Amino acid sequence: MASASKPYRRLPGTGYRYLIPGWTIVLLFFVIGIFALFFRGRRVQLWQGEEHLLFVEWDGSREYYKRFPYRDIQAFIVQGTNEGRIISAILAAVVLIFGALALAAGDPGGRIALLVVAGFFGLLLLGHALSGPTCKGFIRTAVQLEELPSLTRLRRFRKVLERLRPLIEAAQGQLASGEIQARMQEASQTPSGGETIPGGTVRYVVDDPNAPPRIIP
Amino acid sequence: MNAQTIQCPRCKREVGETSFNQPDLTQCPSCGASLQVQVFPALFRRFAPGTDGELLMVEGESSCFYHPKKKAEVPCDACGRFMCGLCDCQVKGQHLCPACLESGHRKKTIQGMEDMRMLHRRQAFVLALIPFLITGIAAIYMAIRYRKEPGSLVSPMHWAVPASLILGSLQILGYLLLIVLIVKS
Repeated sequence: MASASKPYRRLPGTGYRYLIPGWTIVLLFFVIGIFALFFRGRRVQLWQGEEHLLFVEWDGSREYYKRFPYRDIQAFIVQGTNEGRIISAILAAVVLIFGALALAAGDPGGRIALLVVAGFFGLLLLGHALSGPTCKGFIRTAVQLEELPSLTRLRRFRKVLERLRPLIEAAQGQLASGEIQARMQEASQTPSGGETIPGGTVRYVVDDPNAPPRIIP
Repeated sequence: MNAQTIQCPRCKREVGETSFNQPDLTQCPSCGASLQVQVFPALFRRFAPGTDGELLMVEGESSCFYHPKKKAEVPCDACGRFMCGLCDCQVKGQHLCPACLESGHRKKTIQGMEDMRMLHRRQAFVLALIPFLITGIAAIYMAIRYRKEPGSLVSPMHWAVPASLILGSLQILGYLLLIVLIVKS
């Protein structure tokens, strides 16, 4: 648990809200060098608080905060992506190309240099493969669906979820797997926020908490 | 956003409850995207409809400060003005009028509503690390000027102020020494 002196505990993962697609940044690196990193946008991290999950964005000079109270978190959604496979394929191709060039090189010095480059990309490939499949994570409340750029690996996402689950369940209670269907049916049958007049008829219904009530004649 | 329904982030179509709380990835029935959906009881919570404030019925009855034709329901906990149901903003158990809420947000007096902080301490430390004469002076100035300012909400970096002062001073001393050596030689 977070102590009074340290109200937040860092959750695994750091991501960026890219201003341009990631592959464009890689291409730009060859044009403007290290300055391509300016296009990474804000750095995103998640911090675990006592009552809420804190979403922190940092732009280099300011920090921006969004709070997600545990009692209001409705769902975590994770979508598997192909990004990991594409990156693996590109890295494997680079390793193969430099490996083949090293084998074909006659000069021993050149061969070692090419093998070092192939080894460097091979290590990147290994690290990438060990990190597991990639994903996009989202958090949903009654009023928003927020992407979590810091959770881009499935394993990391599950790890974070396992750390947050007890806190959310402590705030909301547990939801048994058989209970979901019953609750869905109950929710779809009973209009929320409706008012019953003596005759037993519902005068208005609130199907969407963010929209005005719908009057039923 | 509809309550009780979860949409696929890719195709924006509704995902059935059979996909909820599964231990592994499942397929979106519409687009086939791999999904894992973990839902919590808040998804099924019902929301009471908001009130727009009752109209005044009796002459001389207390009215809302912002809507004179509406009945006052509660006073603002900060300024004491009467508010109707529409103006009543409840924040952490407090009833606040829109003006006090806005002012509290601006002045950062309402705990838990702060959404941005300038990180001057971190900037001072970064400046102290950059080896130009002017950056050392700027680092010392920033460290002194913003020494009492709260740092980051998550990692306040209290050590950054003395570190910036020391590094900035060392930078200036180094440059002074360099100038003296050049002049002497």
